[in-house]
Amino acid sequence: MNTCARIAEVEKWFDTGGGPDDLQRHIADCGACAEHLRFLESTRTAMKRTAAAVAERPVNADRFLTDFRERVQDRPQRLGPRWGLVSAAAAALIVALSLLSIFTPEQGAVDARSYVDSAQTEIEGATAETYHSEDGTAIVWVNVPEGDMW
Amino acid sequence: MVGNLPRFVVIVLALAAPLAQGATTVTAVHATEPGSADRTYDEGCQEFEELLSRLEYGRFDTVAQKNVTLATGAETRVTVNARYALSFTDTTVQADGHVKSTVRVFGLPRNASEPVEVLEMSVRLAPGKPVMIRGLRMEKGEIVVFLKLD
Repeated sequence: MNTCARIAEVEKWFDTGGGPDDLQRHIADCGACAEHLRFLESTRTAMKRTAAAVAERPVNADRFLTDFRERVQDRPQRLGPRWGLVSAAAAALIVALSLLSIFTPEQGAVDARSYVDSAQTEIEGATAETYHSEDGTAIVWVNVPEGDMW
Repeated sequence: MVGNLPRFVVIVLALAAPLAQGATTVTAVHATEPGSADRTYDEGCQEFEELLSRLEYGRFDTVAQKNVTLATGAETRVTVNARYALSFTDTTVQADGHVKSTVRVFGLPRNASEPVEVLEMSVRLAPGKPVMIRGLRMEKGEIVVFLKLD
């Protein structure tokens, strides 16, 4: 525990260098300040040693990037060109089935009768009548006048 | 993707084409022996026996039974016998499930070289519900035609 009031001066002097003579004399007389100064010096030495060790570690960045590129480029393609056609065909099938589901009428929705909306004949004197039978069958009756035409 | 566009369009059109089509059965029956108390139906027209029984004929012989496909933008022709033929045009599939078509009946009168239009009608066919055309005169009796969407 540093209890000396001039500890801050010691730290300032240690960081900036130099310092008044009376502070040098005080450190020589004050055990606390001398111990703190040794602590600061040992800490600085240790940090320099660690920084040097990190800087000396061989880091081959070029080799790393080269390996990385080779791995990416040599990676086999999972989706070949045939998959493009398969995808297009699948999309076409989906669209076609959608159209079928949209435009194919439901059997239950079909009106269960056939209809004759209009009927006419070009035969002179003939008529074309339309009606439904009792069971709902649409009937067209061409009434051709009697004669030897047919 | 742009290169696949024509293929995509073809697939969609091919799948959507059946929307505008209707498989239809055309059955033509020669009704003869007017006023006969006995009723005779051949095998081909027994499906329509109930409707035919209301006509004033005693004998019913199937002269044509043809399965045709009514398609949008195309004319479908059906020959009934040596004297009558049908034409289907302007076919569309309606939202309620009916197949709408313009039906023309052409007839070749006796001693004529060109057919005449005996009947022109607009029909809306419902699946399984026939439209009956009667009054197409023959030298003996008449031709009755049933149009039924399958």
